[in-house]
Amino acid sequence: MIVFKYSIIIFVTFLFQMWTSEFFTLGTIDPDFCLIVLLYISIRYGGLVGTLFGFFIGLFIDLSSGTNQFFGLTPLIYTTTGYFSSFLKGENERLNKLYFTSLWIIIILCQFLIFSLIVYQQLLLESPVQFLIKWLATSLYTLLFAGILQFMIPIYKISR
Amino acid sequence: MRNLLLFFIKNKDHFVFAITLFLSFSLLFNRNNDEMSVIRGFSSDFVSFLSTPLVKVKSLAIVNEENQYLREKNLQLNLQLESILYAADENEKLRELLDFKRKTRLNIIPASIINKGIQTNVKSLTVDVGTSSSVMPNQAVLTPHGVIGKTVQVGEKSSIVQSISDNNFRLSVRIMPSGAVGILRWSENNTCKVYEVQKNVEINIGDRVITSGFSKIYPEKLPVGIVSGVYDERGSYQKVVNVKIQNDFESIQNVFIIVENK
Repeated sequence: MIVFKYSIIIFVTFLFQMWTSEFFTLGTIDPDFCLIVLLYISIRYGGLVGTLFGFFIGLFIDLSSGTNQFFGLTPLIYTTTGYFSSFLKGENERLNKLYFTSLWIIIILCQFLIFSLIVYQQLLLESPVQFLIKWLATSLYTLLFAGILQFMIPIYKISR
Repeated sequence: MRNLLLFFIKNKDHFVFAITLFLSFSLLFNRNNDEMSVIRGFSSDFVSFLSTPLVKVKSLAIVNEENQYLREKNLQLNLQLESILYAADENEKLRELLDFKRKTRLNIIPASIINKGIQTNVKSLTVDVGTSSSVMPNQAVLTPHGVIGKTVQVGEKSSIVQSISDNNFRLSVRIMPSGAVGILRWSENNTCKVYEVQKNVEINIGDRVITSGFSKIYPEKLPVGIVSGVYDERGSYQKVVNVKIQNDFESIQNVFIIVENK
């Protein structure tokens, strides 16, 4: 039953990312809704669920992306993000809101940095400034959506 | 063994992370594997199936916009086409007029029809030349296809032309090659009748009808029309000839007025 429940969540998240990201595209930058859902699930349900969720949603994305060049990278990145985000589960009682929020923002920034370092390595060698802009733009655009979501469902409160 | 199992359960998060990390690296390093390509082929079909509703919604969303754009484009192209066709037609007519003016030995001036009479008793045309262009009453008006009337009233910058289609219009004509002469008057539907033609003259369909030159208004040998029918009047020594007028009175725009016979 639990497997079924999370399969549905993965499937719906994947569909949502596939159907809606195009409407929010800014040039070559897409918001990563899967990452936002992964963050919520990891912080809410812990490491096991977060890691598996990250792995499978990443696998779905790579299978659907069609490119062969970095196949397996998205599960790797999402798995890592899910795993490290899960350490924030229950930390709202120990950390104040600012530290808590800063931590999940840093996780997202790191996630995008690793992803960008691998995918845009050529850009990094040619123009580090362009690389920096690319990384920050991609990260901040997703963080913007995550930030908007905080007004409706704050991560700080779901972390129990 | 039990302790080992408990250890695994206690640290399941870390173990799962390690396993998924291992699997991810395996995928990354074996991405060019043939079996992987087969799996990706299946997944591609599945994703395209999932994408179908979105593609349909998007195509529906743009179809209205595209339809509107195509309607506008269609209208613009139709207007352009009409304009081009009109210009081509006008160009052809003007070339014909120019050619006629060059070849004729008559002293003619060009005129444009600015109005067509709406009176039922007199069929008339108004042209944009008058006394300022040496136009006088009773001057022949024609096109390269033939006579269309004569001036009846002349103003300074415009003149009224009695059309050949007026019931009171008469014209002395000669039918070639027989040379028979007669009086032409309008009948109906671009057809005139020539009366007072001798019965013993041989006239065939397709013969040319020209002005006879008996009139002071119309110089001789101006084209009038083509014979389209011949029949005898019972109990008479004359025959009646039907003549098809080559001018289309509905579409004439430019004419010539013979101001002086050279």
